[in-house]
Amino acid sequence: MPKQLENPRIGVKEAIAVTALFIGAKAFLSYQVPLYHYGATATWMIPVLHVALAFAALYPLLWLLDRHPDKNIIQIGQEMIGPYGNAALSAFFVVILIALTGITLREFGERVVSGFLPDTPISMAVLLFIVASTVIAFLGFDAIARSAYIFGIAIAAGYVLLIGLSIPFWRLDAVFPLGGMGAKSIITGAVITSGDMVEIFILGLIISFVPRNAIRKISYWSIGIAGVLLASSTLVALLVFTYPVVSEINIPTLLVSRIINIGRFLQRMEVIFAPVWMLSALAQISLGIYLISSVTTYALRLPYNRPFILPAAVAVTALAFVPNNVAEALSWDIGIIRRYTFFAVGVPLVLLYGLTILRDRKGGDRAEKQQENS
Amino acid sequence: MAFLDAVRKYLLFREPTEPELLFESGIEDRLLEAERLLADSGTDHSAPGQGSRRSRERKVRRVGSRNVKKGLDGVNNQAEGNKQSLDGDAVVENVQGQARQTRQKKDQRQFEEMLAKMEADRTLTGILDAEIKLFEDLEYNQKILEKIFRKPTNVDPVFRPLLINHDPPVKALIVFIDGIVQGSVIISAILRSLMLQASLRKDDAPPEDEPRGDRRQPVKAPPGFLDRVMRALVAGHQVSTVKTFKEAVNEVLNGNTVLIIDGLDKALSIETKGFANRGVGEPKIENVIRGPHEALVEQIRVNTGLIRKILRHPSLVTEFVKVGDASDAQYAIMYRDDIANPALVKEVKRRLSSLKVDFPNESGILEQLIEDSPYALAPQVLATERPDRVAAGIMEGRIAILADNSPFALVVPATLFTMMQSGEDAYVRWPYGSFTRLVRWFGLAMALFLPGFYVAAATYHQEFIPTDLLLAITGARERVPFPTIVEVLLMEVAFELIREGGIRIPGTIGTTLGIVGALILGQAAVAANIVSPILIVIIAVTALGAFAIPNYAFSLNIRLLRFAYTLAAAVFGIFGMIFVLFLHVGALTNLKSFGVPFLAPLVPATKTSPDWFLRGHAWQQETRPDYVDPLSTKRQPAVSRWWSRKGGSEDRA
Repeated sequence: MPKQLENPRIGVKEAIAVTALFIGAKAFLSYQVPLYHYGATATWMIPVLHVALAFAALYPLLWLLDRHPDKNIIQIGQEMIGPYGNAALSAFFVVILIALTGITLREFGERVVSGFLPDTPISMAVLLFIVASTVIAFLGFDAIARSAYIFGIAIAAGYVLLIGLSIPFWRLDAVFPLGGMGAKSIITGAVITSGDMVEIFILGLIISFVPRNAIRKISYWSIGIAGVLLASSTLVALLVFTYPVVSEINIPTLLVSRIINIGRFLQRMEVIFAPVWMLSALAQISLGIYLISSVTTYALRLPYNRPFILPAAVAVTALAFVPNNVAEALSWDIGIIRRYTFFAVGVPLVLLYGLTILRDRKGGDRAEKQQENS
Repeated sequence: MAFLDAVRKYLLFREPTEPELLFESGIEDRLLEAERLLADSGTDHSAPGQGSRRSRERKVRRVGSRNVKKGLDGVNNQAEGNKQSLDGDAVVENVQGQARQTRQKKDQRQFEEMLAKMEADRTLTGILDAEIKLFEDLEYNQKILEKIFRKPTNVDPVFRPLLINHDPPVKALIVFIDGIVQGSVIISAILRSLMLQASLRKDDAPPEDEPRGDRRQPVKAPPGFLDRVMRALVAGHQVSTVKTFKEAVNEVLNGNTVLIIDGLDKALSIETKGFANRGVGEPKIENVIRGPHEALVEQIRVNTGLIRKILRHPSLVTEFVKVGDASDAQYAIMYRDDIANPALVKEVKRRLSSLKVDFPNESGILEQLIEDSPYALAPQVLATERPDRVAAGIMEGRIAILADNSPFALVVPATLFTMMQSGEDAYVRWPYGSFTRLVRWFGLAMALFLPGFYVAAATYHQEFIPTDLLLAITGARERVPFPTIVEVLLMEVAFELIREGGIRIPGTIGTTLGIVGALILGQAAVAANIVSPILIVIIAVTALGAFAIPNYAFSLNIRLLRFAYTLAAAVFGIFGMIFVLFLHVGALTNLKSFGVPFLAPLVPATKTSPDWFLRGHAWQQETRPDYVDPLSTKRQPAVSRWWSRKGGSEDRA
């Protein structure tokens, strides 16, 4: 195992925080927007189905990790499909991570410019994000996870406050009809947008940095917390703006914070939302950069991952600038990444899963034969 | 009858055992008696009732300790002299004389070589580091030490020759540095004892027929004499043996007096420290209303005493650690041997003893030399002037580092949460303690973010500000010609000037500075439309927030970081501040104090008593912080208020 990557060891709470933020930070972007088209008044059910899907995909992943003690997905690939096959697999994971992180970076940068700093060029906004995230990624996984834990507390507190302050603006009839456009539409929507949960595959990567016996606890809690965040943000936006108005909004959570107006003082709560929003983005981007570098390091079986931090940041920034504008970035995100990646990532994992079963059977047959011979 | 006599003797009679140490009561008299008996036995006229000569000799041997036996050899030889042949004595003396001559020649050669080296190397460090042993010849020792201490140019070192009132007298020399010793102790414990009261032992006395005049001539000290001087003659309360020039020099520099005796290649160091120091006073920067009002002072021994006064436990260890070129006794560490992790103790000692510096004369310099990340802004060592805080730290398994000439102790490892605590938190009831801590955290947030937030809100995010407040701010700023950031920086710099000037200004005119600061920089700046009135409020709240931080070094860190947040806010608004915050917290998560994460027990989340963010009940403080990894984690049982249980006191008994 690479020496540098052996060292960081984080606690269960930090691991839950960083994974939950990586999965759930999209709640502060446009995650909900495509869902409303499928779920209408029952859109909040789609994140719940996403969580169920994530748990369903989690079991084979955990099984795979159990069968290969002390190994992460990349190392399992090295063992099961050899160096060349694993190079392709690692490259695929790197591409997925670059795509996820790059598009997230671009979207957050665009939101900063359009929502708060209209005179600032997008390059400066992206530069801010990438510099801060790269520095923290350079400090190591423990710095990312610990920051995520600290900010996770602040984000949770800010988010709960935001939801609480928006209660006077809820229209409870917005969830009726409860079934929305019907079960078929909801399930179809959940399957099509299943890529929203693709981030769970990082559990197969961060296993090298967390207590291995706690990976189940980390998985359940992080997916659960992210699920609550995603479902509640979808529901609150629906309650505040109602369908179909909510489906026309770019960033529903930001708009919820803007609409708050209680008395003459509690108005325009972006002051609460902005830190929540930015900190979750920074945690997500820094983890993305770190994971890109660590996957590369594991794939190339090198001792240190730090030399790959800067190239990873450059790759992420480059991809962030590929879309011409925010609309194109959104279409990439919603139309491509969130639509297909869950299954695309599932294919190599299923391959590893199948190969492991075959190996176990062969190993078992061989063991039985050896036992018979002896 | 004989059997009954034997039983009676067995039951009623015990042969008294003699004390072994010379300084025990009456031993001197018994030595004289033994000597007289031996002298009498030489004439073969045994006095009735005194037993045989062999038994008397045996008695003498019992009386003396091992070292005294050496001293008595001369007496025994003298007593047996009439019986043994003169030829035998002559052979022994001849052999001894040759050995002494050989030794003298060797010493002379070494002395000359050393003098030559000292002429060549003015720093003398190599000579001192060579651990050269003292010579037997007093003159050699005196000359070498005079060279080392730069006599006669240097007037501080005092070389006081004396004659130990032995019979015959022995030449000696005491060396000390004037001004750092207690003269009265030197007079009473050394000079008076040796010059006037040392003539109690006669074991080296010449025969009665020897001319009286010869007995006044000084002689070389006999073997074992040093031990006798240490045990019986010098009345110092702490006496130790010194073997090398380096040890002797260090002892003298530490305020002790070194006694060198002619004929001995060892010396004695007698505790006579008398450094000038102020008395124990009140803390200057860590004041409390409830709790002890004692503060550490500049003398290390007083400080160890103040801490030991609080922690009266035998496992409280004070170890002197040699730091760089400083003297041996200038730095010490204190810890509870049964609580502190030995690995931590070892690490602290390793860092201190491996320092290669010439002048770490204050704990502040030492702190900079031993911290984990010298480029980090946050202090990684808790510097406190309160002995009770040091004691509390030691009881948690931390280690205190004390430096002579510093009224601050360094407590390691330190975390962010220890920086935000005050001794008073524990001395008041838990709701008050928790509340004051919350106030402090609020103050910290204000000191760090408020000016930046003002700049961000006034420059970029006017929508964040409620309309009425926005109108008030805008109205106040209407006549100010500067941009917000310039206005804020002007006032910040002005306030930093007031604060710095307030520290340096003599106390008697300190109030004037307050008036100057408040009136001229506040009222007049507003009247002159240089700054807006709202900014005065912002700066005042910021300053109060910074003052609420109980640790001075941490407060300085916040003062400095505030400018980073303010400048980031001027460029990118609140997003700039969040980026700086992200980097700041990320850097803090990576920071360690002696291997302990700076943000523990928050991250990594570790077990500890409810006394890190808020202050829990006193009876809830059951465990020591896990991140220090103490040998014993338990402070008190789950039920510490045993009286509250029904019949609790009886059960406990």
